[in-house]
Amino acid sequence: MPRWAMVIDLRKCIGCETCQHVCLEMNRPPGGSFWRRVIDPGRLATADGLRIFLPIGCMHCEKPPCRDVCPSGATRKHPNGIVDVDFEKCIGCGACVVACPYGVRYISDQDGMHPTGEAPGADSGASPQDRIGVSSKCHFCRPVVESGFAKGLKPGVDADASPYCVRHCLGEALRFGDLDDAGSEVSRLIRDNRAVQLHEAVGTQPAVFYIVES
Amino acid sequence: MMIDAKSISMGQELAADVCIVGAGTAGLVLAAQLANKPFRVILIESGGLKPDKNSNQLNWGENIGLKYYALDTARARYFGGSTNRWHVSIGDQQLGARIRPLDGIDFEERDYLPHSGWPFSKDHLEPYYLRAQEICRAIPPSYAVNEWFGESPYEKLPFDAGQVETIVFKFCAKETLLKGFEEAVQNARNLQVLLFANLTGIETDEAAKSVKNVKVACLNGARFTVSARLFVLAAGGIEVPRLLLSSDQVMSCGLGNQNDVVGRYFMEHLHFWSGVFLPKDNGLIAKTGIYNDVRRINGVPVIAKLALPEALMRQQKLINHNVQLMPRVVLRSTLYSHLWRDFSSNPKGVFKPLPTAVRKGIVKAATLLDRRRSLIYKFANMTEQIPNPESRVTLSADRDSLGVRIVRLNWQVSPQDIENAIRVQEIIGGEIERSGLGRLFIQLQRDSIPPDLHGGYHHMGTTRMNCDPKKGVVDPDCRVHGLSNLYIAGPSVFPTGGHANPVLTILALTLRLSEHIRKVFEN
Repeated sequence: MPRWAMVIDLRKCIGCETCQHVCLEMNRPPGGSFWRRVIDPGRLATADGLRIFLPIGCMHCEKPPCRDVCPSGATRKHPNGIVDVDFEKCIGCGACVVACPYGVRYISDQDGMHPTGEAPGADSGASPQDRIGVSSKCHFCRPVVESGFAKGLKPGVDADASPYCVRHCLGEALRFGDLDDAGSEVSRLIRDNRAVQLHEAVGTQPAVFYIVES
Repeated sequence: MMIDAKSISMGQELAADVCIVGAGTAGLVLAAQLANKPFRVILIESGGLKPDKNSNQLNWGENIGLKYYALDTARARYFGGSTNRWHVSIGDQQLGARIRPLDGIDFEERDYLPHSGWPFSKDHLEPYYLRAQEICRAIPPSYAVNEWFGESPYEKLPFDAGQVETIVFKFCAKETLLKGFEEAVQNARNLQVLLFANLTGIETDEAAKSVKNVKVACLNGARFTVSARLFVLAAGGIEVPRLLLSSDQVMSCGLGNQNDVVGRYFMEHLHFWSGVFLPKDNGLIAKTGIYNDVRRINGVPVIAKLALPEALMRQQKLINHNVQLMPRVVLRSTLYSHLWRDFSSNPKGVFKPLPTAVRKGIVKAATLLDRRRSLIYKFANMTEQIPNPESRVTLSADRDSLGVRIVRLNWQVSPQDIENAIRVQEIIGGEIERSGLGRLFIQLQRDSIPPDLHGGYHHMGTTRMNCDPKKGVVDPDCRVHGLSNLYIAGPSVFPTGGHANPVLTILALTLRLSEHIRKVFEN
C-alpha cells in the first residue's frame, strides 16, 4: 500500500495561484472554502532576494489531531495516508477546525456546483448531499488518485492519476508520490534537499514537505 | 529556432527586419503570422519555456491604488505569457479562457462616456475576429444565441429582449494556443526566439523619430542589442508603458509620451458579487444550467450570461456589463437579512408597535432554528470600466535587478462605475420580477466599492489607440504616434474594454497588424 505525500518546492513556486484556481474549478469545494490556497507574505524574500510564496492545504498528517478530536468518526485516515471527511457522518461541531494547527479546514454556510456539473439540491434545495454546515478540506484529489492507481497508473507520474493542483502547477513546484517508495520523486526530493514540515514541533508528522533550499 | 540569450556574447549587435518584444498571445500570434516570410524576425522573451522565479521577479511593482494582485503574480513572464494562467475548467481535463468579440457599441464614441470610441467600427475588425476564432478552434464562429440554444436541451430565460438579453461566451483551450504557437515558431526558418532576454531600453535617433535598436540584458550579466527595421512591443498592458516611460534618454518624458498619455487609462474588467436571486421554482436550475457553468453543445464549450441590449444601453447611458448566475444552496436563515429587512429594522403596519429589541430577537431566534435550505443564484458580474486618466501606470524610483525602474500601478474606478452596476442590477431585477421567476436582492451600495472587487488579469488601455496624438499613444495602425517604426500589440491599445474577455480582440488586432507589417515590407 503506498503512502501518498506531496513535496512543494518553494524555489519554484511563482505565486501564480494556479493550484488554488484549478482546485476551485475541478473540486468545487463548498462556498468560501479553499482546499488549496497560496499565502503571499508580501515583500518577504529568501536569502537570494527572491519572493517566497506558501501553497497550503491539508497536511494529511500521520497523527492528525483533527481525527483524534472528531466525535462522530467522520474524519478518517485511510491506509494510503489520505485524511478525508465523510460528509454523511460529520455533525459540524467544528472541533477539527479548532484542532488543526494549519488552519486548512472549513465549515461553509453554502454549497455550489458539484464536479458532475449538477447543483446540489436541484430538486428541493434540501439535498442530503449538500455540504452545508459540515467540515471539508483538501483530500489530495482522492477519487482521482485512487481510481488512477487502481487502473495501474502512477499518481504523481501519470497526470490522470495526480491531484489537480500537481497536474496543472505551472512551475512544477508541486510534486506528488509514494513516500514508501525510495525511488519516487517525492522521496528523492526529500532526501536530496532540505525539506521541512510545517509546525514540526506539534508532532503531527505531515505528509506535505516544503523544500526551501538545496 | 530558440536560443538561450545568456549564451550571446557581451556587446553583440543582432540584426533583424522585425523585432517583437514579448512571447505572449500577441507576440506569438504575430511571430506565427510572420513565419517563413521573406524577412528576418527576432522574438525577445524575458523568461524561458517554463516559469522561473528569477525572471518573474522582474514583474515586481508597487500597487498604490485600489487593492490589486501583487504585480509579480498578476502576469506570467515566460514563453506563452499570461495565456499560461488560463484556468477555467472546460471539460476533458482542459483549462481555458472565455472568448467573445467586443460588441458593436464598444467601438462607438458614446456621448455619455468620456474618452470612448475606437478609430474604426466592429465591422472593420470582423474578418480578423473570424480568423482569430479559427486559431482558437472556436468553430462555428456564430455567437447568435438562438443557434446555440436550438442545439441544446437548455431554455432561454423569458426576459423582454428589449431589457435583458442572453449572450453566449465560447472557450479556447490554452493548449490549443500554446502548442500551436510553439510549433509554428519552432519550425520557422526566418525566426529566432531569444529566451531569457530582457528588454531594458529602446534607443531612438536623436530626433526621436525612429527606433534604432533595443537594449537587452540577461540575468547572468550578458548584454547586447537588437537592431531592426520595425519593432513591436507585445509585453502586456503594464510592461509596455513601463518600457516606453523608462526609455527616456532622448525624450525625458518617455517614448510616445509627449502628450502625457502613456500609462493613463489603465482599465480592468470589474469582477464582483452583486446580489442574490431567489427563484420561485427550484426547477429553474434544471432548465437553465447553461447560465451556471461551462456546457458542451456539439462538443463546443459554451456558457450563457445576461447582458443589456445595445439600444437600452444607449438610451439609459449605461456601459457594458454581464452577469453569470451562480447557483448556491444556502441555509434559508442566511437570507433573513434580505427577507426580513422591513420587519427587523424598518417596521410597517402591524409590526410597528413591537419594540425593536423584540423584532430583532424574533429574527435571531428564527435564524438559529430554521435549518431549511434554499436554492439561490448569486450574481457574478464582469463589467466594462469607464476610462479614467487617473487610473494609471507610472514608474517608481526603485529599480529591478537589471536597473530598470519598476512600475507603480494606481488602479482607480469611478463612482459612475458603481452607479452603472447598480442600474444594471435594477433592470435585471425588474425583469426577474416581471417574468415571475422570483426576486433579486441587490447588495451593492451607491457610496462604496464592492468589498470583493477584483480584476480578471486584463490590463487594458495604457497605450490607447486614437487618431489624435493628444488623445492616444498609438494610431489606428497600432503605430506609436511620432515614431515611424515602433508598434504595439496587445490589450494596452484598447481605448475601451467592453465586457468581453480581451483575448479574441488581442488576436484580431494582431492579425490585422501582421497584415500591415507585411504591406510595409512589400512597399
